Amino acid sequence: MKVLVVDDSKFSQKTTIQTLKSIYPDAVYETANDGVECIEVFATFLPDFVFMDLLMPKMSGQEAIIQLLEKYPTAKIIVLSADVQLAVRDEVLSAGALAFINKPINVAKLKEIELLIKG
Amino acid sequence: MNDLYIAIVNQLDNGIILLDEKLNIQLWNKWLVKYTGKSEEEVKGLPITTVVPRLDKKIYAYMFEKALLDEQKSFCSAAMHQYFVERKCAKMKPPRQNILIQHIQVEHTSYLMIEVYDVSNHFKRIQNLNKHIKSSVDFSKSLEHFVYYDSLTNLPNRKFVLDRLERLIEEEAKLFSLFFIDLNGFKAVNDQYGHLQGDLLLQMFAERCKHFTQKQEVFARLGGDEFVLLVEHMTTANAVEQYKAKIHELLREPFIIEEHQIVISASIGCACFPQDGTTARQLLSVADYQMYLQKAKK
Amino acid sequence: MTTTQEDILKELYNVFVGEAANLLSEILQKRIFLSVPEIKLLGLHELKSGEQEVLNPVINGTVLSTSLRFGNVFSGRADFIFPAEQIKYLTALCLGEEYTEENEELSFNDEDFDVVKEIGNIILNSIMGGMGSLMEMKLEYDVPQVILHNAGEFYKTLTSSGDSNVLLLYVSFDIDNSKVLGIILIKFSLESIEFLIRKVDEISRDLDE
Repeated sequence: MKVLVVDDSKFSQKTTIQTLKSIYPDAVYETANDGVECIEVFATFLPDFVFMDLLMPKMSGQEAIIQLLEKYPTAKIIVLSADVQLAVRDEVLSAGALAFINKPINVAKLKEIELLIKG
Repeated sequence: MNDLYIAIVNQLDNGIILLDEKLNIQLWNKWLVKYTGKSEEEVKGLPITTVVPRLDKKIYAYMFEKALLDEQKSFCSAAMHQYFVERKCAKMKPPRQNILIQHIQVEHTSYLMIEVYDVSNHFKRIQNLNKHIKSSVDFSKSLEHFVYYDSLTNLPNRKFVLDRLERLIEEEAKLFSLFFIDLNGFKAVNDQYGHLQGDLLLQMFAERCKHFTQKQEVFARLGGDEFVLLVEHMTTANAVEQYKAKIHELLREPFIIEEHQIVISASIGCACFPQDGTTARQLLSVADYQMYLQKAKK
Repeated sequence: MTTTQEDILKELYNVFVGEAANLLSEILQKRIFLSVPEIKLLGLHELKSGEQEVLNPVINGTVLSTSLRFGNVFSGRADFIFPAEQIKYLTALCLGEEYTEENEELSFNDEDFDVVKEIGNIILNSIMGGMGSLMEMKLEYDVPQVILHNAGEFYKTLTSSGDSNVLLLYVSFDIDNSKVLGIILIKFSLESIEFLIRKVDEISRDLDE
């Protein structure tokens, strides 16, 4: 399994990968620092899942979701954000994201992620 | 609980609600009894959201939880939440309340305390104060109008012109001309038709002047049948003559008074700044003198 | 502070501020757009130097601040400051009134102060609560006080109590297409800032292991 973690914070990238590794130690992880990079990396890495932050410089997560799904309609995107407003959640879900998970990511939230990945 | 403390809580001039950890009411002070008409016996032991339905919202549940678990205090303003506790008379205008939610711990028991402050009068007071300020601003504006405008014709008055002249003179950089206009034959109108009709004629003349006046021009009434026209940025002899012609043109149409056509003429004198004088009084008296010379020629 | 430390703190604060924005949006029934936050650790003397371009007009202008003191072991004060011009806009927004810019002279009433107090309370609660769990200690603090500072006064009160460090957070949020800029300043005692940095380093070490 290949996982792309998109976040402008290195710290957040690391925490996300570390937490995911606890259930998927064999997955291949790649990172991108903003929406623009995300689209570039996606094209060559072709991940099975994308974990996407929203509030990022250059290109926001919202914009990246729209652009990704335009090119790759089957892309599976899970949003990981600290912006927990209901309106934000609705917005990204209607844009086509698979799920919305509140930051910070922790072991308790892994169950939810596991279910999502199993489909 | 100690009777004295209970007595103190009941003397307070704001509402105090004490909730246990399950958010059931344990204390409901006298202020609230008077305010809501609900006695303490009626509400004791009931969940707060039953007694105060407006608190049955996710955000308040969150605040209660934060208070109990993290001892976090929450302040809710009337501006954002309007009110929480219903008044006895529901027909009255909705109140405005601030509340403060905080945690209290006695020995090993946690409580939530909600303080309710009725700030309705507060807001009314501010509104009234604003109204009062507005009316006194309006009053001082009307006073200002009274000081600077002629009450008969509503044209600027002598004081207005003198102030304007002084300001222009201070600026120095600006040129301007001052026309002194005296109506000929006005006294005869007064004598023949009476003062009321004379006043009417002045008002009609003033109306024509107002239509005539453009930016950087001031038409004012000094008193009686004396008027002045102040024109900025203009002092050439040619332009002065043009303005004089324009003023005469204003009087060409006869005025209709009691179905009589009355034709009035004017004598006009002019003074220019800075060549004819460097103070407002000098300029006015030069223009007046020039007008007088004109009149004498007739 | 190193970039890693800054990055960690920024991410943590992101979560705290996100929580506050969520509460605010529920109260106002409006979507709030957050910007990417900025975070800086500065000495107090650096606050006034020319580098702080965004900050200077705010700090030296007329501001309303809500401020609270916290803690014994981990101690300091936190301020949430707003340029005063924005308050009237915010109050109008909360009351559902039309905002008019006609009032050239700013005058504030209790209603305005209450709005600032509540917003300050929400934001500082989230941040202090988050700081507390980060430090694994209970930080004691009260509902913030609202003070109106005339131009230049805020800086004076900030610097009046001896030399210490300031953690600076810019948060700007959009409500109804109008940008509202708020700045959060947390002033720490010297021991507290060391404590904070140690905590952040621990987190960073845990991750690298």
